[in-house]
Amino acid sequence: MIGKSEWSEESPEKRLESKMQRVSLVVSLVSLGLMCFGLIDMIFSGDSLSLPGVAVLALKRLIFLHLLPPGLALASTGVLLLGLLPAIRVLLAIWLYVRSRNLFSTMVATVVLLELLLSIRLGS
Amino acid sequence: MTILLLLGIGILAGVLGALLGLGGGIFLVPLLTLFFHLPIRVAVGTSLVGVIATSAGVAAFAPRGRGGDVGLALRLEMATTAGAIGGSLLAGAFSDRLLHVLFAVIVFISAGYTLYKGRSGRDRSTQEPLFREDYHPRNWPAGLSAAGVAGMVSGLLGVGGGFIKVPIMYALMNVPLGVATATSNFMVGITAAASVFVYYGRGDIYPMVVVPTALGVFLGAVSAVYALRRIGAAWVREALVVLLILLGVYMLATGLKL
Repeated sequence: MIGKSEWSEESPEKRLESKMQRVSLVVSLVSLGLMCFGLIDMIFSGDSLSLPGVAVLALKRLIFLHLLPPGLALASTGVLLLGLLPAIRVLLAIWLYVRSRNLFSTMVATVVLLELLLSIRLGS
Repeated sequence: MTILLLLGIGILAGVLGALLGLGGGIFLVPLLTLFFHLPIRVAVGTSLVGVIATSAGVAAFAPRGRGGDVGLALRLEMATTAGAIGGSLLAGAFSDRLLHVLFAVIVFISAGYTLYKGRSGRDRSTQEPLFREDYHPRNWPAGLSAAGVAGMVSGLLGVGGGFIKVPIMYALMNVPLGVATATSNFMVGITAAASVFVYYGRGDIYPMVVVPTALGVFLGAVSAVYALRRIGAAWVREALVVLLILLGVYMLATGLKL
């Protein structure tokens, strides 16, 4: 039923894979870029290189970006963005399934997203 | 120097994790605790970010048709995540020793079945393709049940479970091994995302550790995507089986306190 033999150039699965590839590339490169610039700034600001160093900034504190050490703020934002990528990919799948009116796959992807949110909630 | 070592460890974990569909956390946690003496929570938090980086690297650079089967991943992930939630709620009810032995038994069964499936019923004169498009996943009830159990084991033991998901798809559901590893990489990214915010919120993620490791993992995963174009299914299968056996022996020894 979902084997790739059914794929054609314009099939929703092909479009989904192509869009996911672009989103994954952009988000991962942006997040890794933020993390690297942040780390470089931390090193040049004189932060100790001994491990583990300072922890990422709490989400609430990231709202006040201008008051924070820029290196740590950039690195923390990069980690958060990378952590959000799998949820962004599931959201993208839902959006494309809705557009192609594939009700069953929309429901499956929505259940996965809800389970993901529930496990984050239970964990916290 | 430390940053370069972390980058190197990340590359190693990224290559193996992406090739075998395991995400790489299974290598990162022991390496970070053994070589850098990091607390286990910091190692796990770093490894979760690493698993997401592997998943992102595979998804971003895989050639068309080799990025994993998203439909299959989401259907199995439904059962896996439900199992993982159940497993994490039950985690306190079992002793550590029992969990380790249970883990070892499941790993040995996965290894044995993968080996058996790979060697039976195939024409030895032709090479088994790593990727195929003309497949139809079968045994859905058994596959979904096994995915639920894999999720429960993941939740009980705090691991991504790629080492069970790949054998389920390959051996039980008749999915080509390359598609199974790519799909598993997509799935373990979702599983890791469910936990990474807990570690983030607790302050168990440290940029000085996580940035070079995640960068290394991403580079390693991208290299693995290109390596997968050249290597055969037999190599991936044998490597997976060897890794599963080593992991099972280690968990059994830990569980039995040998």
